[in-house]
Amino acid sequence: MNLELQLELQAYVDGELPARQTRRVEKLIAADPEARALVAELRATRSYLVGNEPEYSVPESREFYWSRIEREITRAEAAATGPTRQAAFHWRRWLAPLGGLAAALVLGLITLHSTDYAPLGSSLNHLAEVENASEHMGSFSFRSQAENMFVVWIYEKVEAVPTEPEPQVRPVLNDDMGVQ
Amino acid sequence: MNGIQMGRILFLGCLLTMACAPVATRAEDLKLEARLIWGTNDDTPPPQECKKLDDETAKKLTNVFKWKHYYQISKVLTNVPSRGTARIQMSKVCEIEITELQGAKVEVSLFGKGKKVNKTVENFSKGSFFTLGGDDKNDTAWFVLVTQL
Repeated sequence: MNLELQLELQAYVDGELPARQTRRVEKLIAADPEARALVAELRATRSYLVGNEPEYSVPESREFYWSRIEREITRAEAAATGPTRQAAFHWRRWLAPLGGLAAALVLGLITLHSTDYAPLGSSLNHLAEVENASEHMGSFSFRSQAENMFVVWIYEKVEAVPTEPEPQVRPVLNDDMGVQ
Repeated sequence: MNGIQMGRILFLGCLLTMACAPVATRAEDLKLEARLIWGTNDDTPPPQECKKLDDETAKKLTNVFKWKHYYQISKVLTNVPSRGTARIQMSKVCEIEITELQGAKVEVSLFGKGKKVNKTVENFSKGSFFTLGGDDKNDTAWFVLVTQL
């Protein structure tokens, strides 16, 4: 029995042959004991497979699996156009720290300018306090913006004119400061 | 740690640094130069002990005051400790006392013959000039010029 005939018998057992060919095969089986034995074996095998093939089932429906596949496809497509968006996101990650740092620097500059490095003539200049410790001496202060100079000018207070002339009083500041 | 958390930490760190900045910037000694200067319009040569003031400072004074010639009588360099006081003898009878205060301020007191004449509290920074001055005899003037080195 050749292979072609064996395949024809297999098709007959599976019911896949047209009517005319089926009749011809049936005649052959009736006449050929070897063919008959093969058909019997094939039918027995088929019955075993049909009756005992294990059937596995999964709890999820096929729609569930398809939705996962669909999501993966969508993600893969997004990844293909991803680098630009990812780069933009990477840049945004540094936006917050850099913004905070910039704000801190601005505040720092303002703080420094309002303390040690406040230029003369700024709003803090009125904080100068001048106090005379002697009742005979007066003072006034002024500031030269151009020369960055704060001046306290000290002068002798003019006493009330006495009714009687008094001896000439030596100017206090001349010798008090010991310049000459 | 994400970017926002890192930003918050940086921001808080910088704020803390700034809060300490005004203290830190003056948490050191003040190096000062104090000069006793005499100003006059007299063109005749000055007494031998008077030294001609350097041109730069003389020009500054000329731009502010009416006198033409300025002579340096004495110069004292001193360190005022942080939050401390230094007393400087400018002449036999003239002294100043400088106290370094919080922030960028100093308190300068002037003494004549040991008696306090004046006290001034003022912002003081590098490059600025603190000047005490007054009239002297024969239409001359004295100055105590304090600068930070």
